[in-house]
Amino acid sequence: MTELFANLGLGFAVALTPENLVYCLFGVLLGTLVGVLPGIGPVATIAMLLPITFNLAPIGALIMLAGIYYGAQYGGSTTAILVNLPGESSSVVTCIDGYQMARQGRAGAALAVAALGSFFAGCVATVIVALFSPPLIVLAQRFGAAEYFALMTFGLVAAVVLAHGSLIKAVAMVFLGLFLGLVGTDVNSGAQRFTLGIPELTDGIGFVPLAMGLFGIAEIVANLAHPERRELLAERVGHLMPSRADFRASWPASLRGTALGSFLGILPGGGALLSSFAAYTLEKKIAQDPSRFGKGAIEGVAGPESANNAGAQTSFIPMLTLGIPPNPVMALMIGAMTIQGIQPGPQVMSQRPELFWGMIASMWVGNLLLVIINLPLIGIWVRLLRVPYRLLYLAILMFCCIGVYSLNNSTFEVGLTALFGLVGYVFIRLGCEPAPLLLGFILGPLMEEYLRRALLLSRGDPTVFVTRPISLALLLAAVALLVIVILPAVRRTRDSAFQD
Amino acid sequence: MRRLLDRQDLLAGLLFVAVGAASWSLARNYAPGTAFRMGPGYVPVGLSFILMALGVLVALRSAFAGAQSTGEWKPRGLVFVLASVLAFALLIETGGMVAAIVGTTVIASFASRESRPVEVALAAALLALAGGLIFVVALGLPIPLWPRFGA
Amino acid sequence: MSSWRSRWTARALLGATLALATGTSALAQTGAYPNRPIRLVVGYAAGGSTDILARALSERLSKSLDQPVVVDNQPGSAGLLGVEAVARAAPDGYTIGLGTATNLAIRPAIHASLPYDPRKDLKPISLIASVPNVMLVTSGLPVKSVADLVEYAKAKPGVIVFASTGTGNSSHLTAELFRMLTGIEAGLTPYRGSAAAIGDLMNGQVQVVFDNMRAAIPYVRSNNVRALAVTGSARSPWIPELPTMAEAGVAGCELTAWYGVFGPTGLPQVLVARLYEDIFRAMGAPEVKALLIQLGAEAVITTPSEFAQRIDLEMKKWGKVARAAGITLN
Repeated sequence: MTELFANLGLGFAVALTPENLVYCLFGVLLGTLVGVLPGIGPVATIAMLLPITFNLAPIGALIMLAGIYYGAQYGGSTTAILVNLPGESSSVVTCIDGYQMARQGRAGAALAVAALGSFFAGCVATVIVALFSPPLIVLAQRFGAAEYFALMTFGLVAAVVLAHGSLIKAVAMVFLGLFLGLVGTDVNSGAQRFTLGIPELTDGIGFVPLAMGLFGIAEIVANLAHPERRELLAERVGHLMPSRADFRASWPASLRGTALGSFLGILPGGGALLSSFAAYTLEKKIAQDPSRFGKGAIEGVAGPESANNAGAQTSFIPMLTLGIPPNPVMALMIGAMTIQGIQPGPQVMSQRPELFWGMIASMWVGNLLLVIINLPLIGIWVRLLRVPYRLLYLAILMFCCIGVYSLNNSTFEVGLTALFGLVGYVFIRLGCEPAPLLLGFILGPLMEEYLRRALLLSRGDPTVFVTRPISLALLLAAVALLVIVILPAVRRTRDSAFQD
Repeated sequence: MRRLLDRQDLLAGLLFVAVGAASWSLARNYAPGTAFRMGPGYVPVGLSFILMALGVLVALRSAFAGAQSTGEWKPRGLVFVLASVLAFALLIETGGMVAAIVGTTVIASFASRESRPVEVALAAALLALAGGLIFVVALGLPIPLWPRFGA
Repeated sequence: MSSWRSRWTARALLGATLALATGTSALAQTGAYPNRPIRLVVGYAAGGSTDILARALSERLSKSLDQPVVVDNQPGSAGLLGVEAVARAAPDGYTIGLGTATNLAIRPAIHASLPYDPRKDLKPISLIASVPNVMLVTSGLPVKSVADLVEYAKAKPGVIVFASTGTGNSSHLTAELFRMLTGIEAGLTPYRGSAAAIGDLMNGQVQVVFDNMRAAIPYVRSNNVRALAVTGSARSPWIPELPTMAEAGVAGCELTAWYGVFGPTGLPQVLVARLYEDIFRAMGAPEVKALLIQLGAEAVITTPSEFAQRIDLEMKKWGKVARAAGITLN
């Protein structure tokens, strides 16, 4: 324990030097900016800043880049709540209830809860990174292909809960998403699937064009066609701060989200992706009145926002302890370390303690800075909603287009966004919800990859999924969740059948 | 006939069946492999059958559960919004950032009946300025601001 | 007759004027080259080795050419889309690309159909760096050398599983080449990228992987995995005690990943020479050299014609390996 304090002391001494504070502030500010702008995300930003880091001290460079990463997590939820634009997979879930809150004039409360929940999660996760990195990494290393497949299965069942309408339609949307996820080059054989001979599709459909089209563009079209949908948005701005009841509802949700996110974040290979979805599922399942979800339930913002921030922090664990990047941002951080002449990996903690602990301390400092920056900004964001919609949608469209284009400098992807905008509008008219589709899209290719790899490695023995304890436990949990989800639905149908 | 078809679940179900069938017709050409050594076709073929079955269930459900209409379809917004996004795709590489933003904004403005010409012109100018400043000047994206003549 | 004659004169005059005009404008253009920003197209996403190298190079080139050299990431299709973009660009020196062994030689050799042929549609400018692959085995495996591994695999056929960091890249083809040359019976499981493959190598799910020096160094230094050999033609300065494949007894198992700058075919010789000269100088800059060390790479500068020969040679070699192993992609 004393060692921990000594380590954290060393870390804070590094993180709180004026120079490093400036790097941290610059990082979180830039991160917030690119997070708010749809499309261009932390990956592109960090990549563009890499050459600049040549000339910085290693610790300052890493603090700045880390700041961009979690700053973007904060910023991403802002556009999700205000205009239904998920710039990253982690903010898809925030769209569901956050945007509904904004439409009810509670954008301020949603933004504040998102910021405070993220701060809380960031604080807890920082301590977890400091205290439990070594044991957690042992656990994460026991995840092989079979375990990941079981985890993804669990996540897929959870996806069904995301919908608030028809269960079977939600299941069908998940499968539709799985298909979209399979478009592209098959990892195992290198064969092209569903690419229709279009070279731009060989790496698959991009997440941003898909999410931007289904959520952002489709929402604009729906709002324009049905002006009554958005009257609420423009006229009732309401309180900026959450009410006492909001706080009471959201702090336990934040706590649960933090716990879930912290754990899932340490799993390289798709764990962190699941954190916000899992947190939303949990909140909806334990709520006394699940029907509020999808209509502006504050727990549906607090839980997932806390989870994704906690996951963002703990995803540093596999990178810092093993040198294995769990996501593209971490891969870039390793690139930055390489440029600085630091070989990432387990030896960093012992050989460069000031770097390791300085970064951990800076995460906490960065989270504090984010709350200080973001709370006053809420007023400005909410005021943006007072801009007449006939002008607001023009701006949203422009930022969508540039955002999508800037990802890969690809006009094809801009066209794809328009196509998915059309599809998304059809979905709205048909009462199909896009969130389960997106989760299926994210998980589909991973699931197939892990399934096939697990069977290859077990030489075709399918019992591998039930003989490995972690895999078995996850599959049982998935079955249990499925039963919990289906039972009330069955009962409801029966009741309504009798009533007819 | 029109009333009969205008049911959310029926149309959604048919959509799922159609996508499932289309996927199957593509995926059956991919090597299926065996359960041990799954080929690229194994998972897609299985999924397409499940999707078709789900589609049938959804469509059937519309016969029992109260059928909800898909509501009024208004093409104006859809057409101009999609056209504006496509215009951006066409303009950005040849015309540069400013032309693309102005084009997108002007076309998109036709999507709303409430648009006012002067306001739209002002908005286009402001957005072009903001877009150029944020993305090209501040973030340094490799997008030209102006059209490139003679190339 | 006279009318024919006057028409001929008119045509000749017109032709001469046109030739003069284009000639002078071409001269003016090359004389002032470069007078606007140059695009350096990279077929990979921002942040990878190729991108990092491109950004270091572009910083130096921007100074020496006195015009911004902008890195333009056009990822897609394992780097092929970026090369295609350069192949289709005007050969005016304002669009050049940084390619790799994968998208300039290996992929073109094993694809059934490709929108470009590197030998016809591209103008090689200069090879700039090369990175050897390292053979890594999981630390739990009781082998200390390549010979041990071959012996072990022959004693227990089918037990060893190789991982590759992707399908149709240097990691995959080196594994195929090794299996062919040694005749061992071993599985091969493709992964999406180096991190996933090394992760499974560390926890023993797979036993062998060929990965590039940059990715391998930290895990070798921390003793999480064991390195057996390098695939370069000479030992690597980063782990000098490691034998080459030839020294370890598997002659011919040689593959180095490399990076090189190229332009579209038809790029005027003056511009090729100018760019080559500037690239040569840029690669000699101390910060670029330091970066190369961090990337596990060695600076290898070749003339444009040497680079072209290299591409031709490697395409033949990998075409042979791919045909023998039965790999075709489309």
